Amino acid sequence: MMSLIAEQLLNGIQLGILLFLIAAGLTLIFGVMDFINLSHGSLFMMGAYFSVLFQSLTGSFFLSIGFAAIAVFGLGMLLEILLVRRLYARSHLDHVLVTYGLILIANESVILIWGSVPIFSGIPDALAGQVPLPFGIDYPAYRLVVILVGMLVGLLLFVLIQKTRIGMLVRAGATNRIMVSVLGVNISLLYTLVFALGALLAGLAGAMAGPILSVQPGMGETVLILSFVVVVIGGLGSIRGALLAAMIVGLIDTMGRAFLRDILSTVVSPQVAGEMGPALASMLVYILMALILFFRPEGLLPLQKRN
Amino acid sequence: MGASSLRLETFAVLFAMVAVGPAVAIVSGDVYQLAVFERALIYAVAAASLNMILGFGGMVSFGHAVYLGLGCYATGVLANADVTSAWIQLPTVIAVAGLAALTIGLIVLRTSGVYFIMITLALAQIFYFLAVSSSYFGGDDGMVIYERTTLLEGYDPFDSWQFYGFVAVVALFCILAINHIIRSDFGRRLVACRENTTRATALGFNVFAIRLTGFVLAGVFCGIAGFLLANQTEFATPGYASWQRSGELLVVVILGGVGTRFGPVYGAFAFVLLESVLSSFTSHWPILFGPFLILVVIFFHQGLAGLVNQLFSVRVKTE
Repeated sequence: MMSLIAEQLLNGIQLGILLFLIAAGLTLIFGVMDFINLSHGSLFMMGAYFSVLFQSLTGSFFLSIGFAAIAVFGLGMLLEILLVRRLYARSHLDHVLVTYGLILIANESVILIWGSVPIFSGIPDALAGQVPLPFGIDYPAYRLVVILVGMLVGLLLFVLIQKTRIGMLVRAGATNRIMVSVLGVNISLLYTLVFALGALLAGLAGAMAGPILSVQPGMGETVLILSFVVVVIGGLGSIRGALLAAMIVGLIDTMGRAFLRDILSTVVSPQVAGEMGPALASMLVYILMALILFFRPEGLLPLQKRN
Repeated sequence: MGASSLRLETFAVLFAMVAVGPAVAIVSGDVYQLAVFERALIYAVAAASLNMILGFGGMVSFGHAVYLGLGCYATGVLANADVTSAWIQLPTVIAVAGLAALTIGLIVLRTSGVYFIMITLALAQIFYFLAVSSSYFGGDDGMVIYERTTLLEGYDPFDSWQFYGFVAVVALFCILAINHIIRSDFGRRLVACRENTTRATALGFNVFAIRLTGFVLAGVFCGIAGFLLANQTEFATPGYASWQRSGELLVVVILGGVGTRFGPVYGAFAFVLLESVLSSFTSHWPILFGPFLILVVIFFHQGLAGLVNQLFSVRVKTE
């Protein structure tokens, strides 16, 4: 039982890490450009498909992940330059509608190119086994690698944002956009880079999630809505908030799905618990979000905005 | 635009809305064409209800389809329990959708802006997952509805023409009612709250109560659209309450012209007809519709209503 709980805890952390990678981009794009990007989930999906594509081209799993992330970075850049930058001055409703259109295009393009049948992205032999951990837990090596890589990327992101000049501009842009452009910063280049960076993170998450989830059209949407929950719970624009919220959402979702039914069956009859458990488990994060927003409408760690 | 052309537009639109379906069915000799126009009418009601809070109240609800789903399931559950009378079904649907909108509204109206968009989405997802995982309501597969709503002695709900008449009358009533609300004193207060909250408060309006009332009314009308949809498709599925459906409703409102009185009607007809034409060419029609939507939002912000307005004002001038 203990090892089962520990394993599910690790699964929760792993989901949390993936959600953080996606939500970090989403929240950055929102914080700096005030742009709602529904198609962020599609970038996640493209990461997964590109990784499958590059795997068959290069034959190497690790190369394919890197190439996929770079390809999605390029895609994000293109998208920003051709379309998204025209929308910054528009209302949030317009953002929602245009990026909704982008989701339609992305999903159908994927169906046209790869078909609508789920593709299984293989795990390399080196990572296919289980790793013995302390306390007698065996955990899949690949998932462990995802956790480690995710943490590393998260760390790099913090260094980038907190210690470099670009990061300083990003932080400044999130706090007071107009002031940054008045100070002579090339704001449109900064916007393009932030958007592409967000795309890169989503693409990387998608490429890494390929072997865990099944690669199929529409896979981005489930993740997208969860990431939005993360971003909103954490506080729009706040990367630290996104990290905290991603972990909370990842753990609660995973633990709920794993144990809620058993917990409920101690209170109500097994039949009712079997019915209610899964329903309640999938609603749990949304109920959490509603509760948090009810008491803290700005999220857990809101960004200090000055206009 | 003068008062006479306004009345002319109202009459023309409402007449065309219910008459175009039968005309197409008669000309083509294909009664099944009526179903397409029933769908358009149902979408028009749902979109008009969303337009009331989106266009006039400034509330961007990204979970409006939840009331469509609720209305649909409420109707279906009653019908399958052999309660088919409209006089019981409609009040139930109104109560269910209204209560849901009241609960959701009490939570979401505390927030604004992006938070409002996201939390309406999240709360709608709660209902969606409830429907997906509940085996009593058919779960993921949905629920077949065996009986259509009965009304009066002599009304046969399975006769294509009679059923079309039923949908048309209910839709017409809803659209007229929504328009009446928008033009009423209350509608003007709703706009005032959108335009300037501080000023509206200073004028003594209870902004929260006004918004909540609008939100609940919109939910109720969308629930009625769900009631019609349950009858029309004889099916209830979680998909009716999915976030994609909520997005579709936003698309319909924008396509028609947000914040215009008949925009939702134009939008719904354009959307449903476009969908049925495009999907007869290719099953990959979203790949055509996606770019179309993006172009509409970027270049054609007035929607179809803007186009129609120009048409009518030109006519008035030439007269």
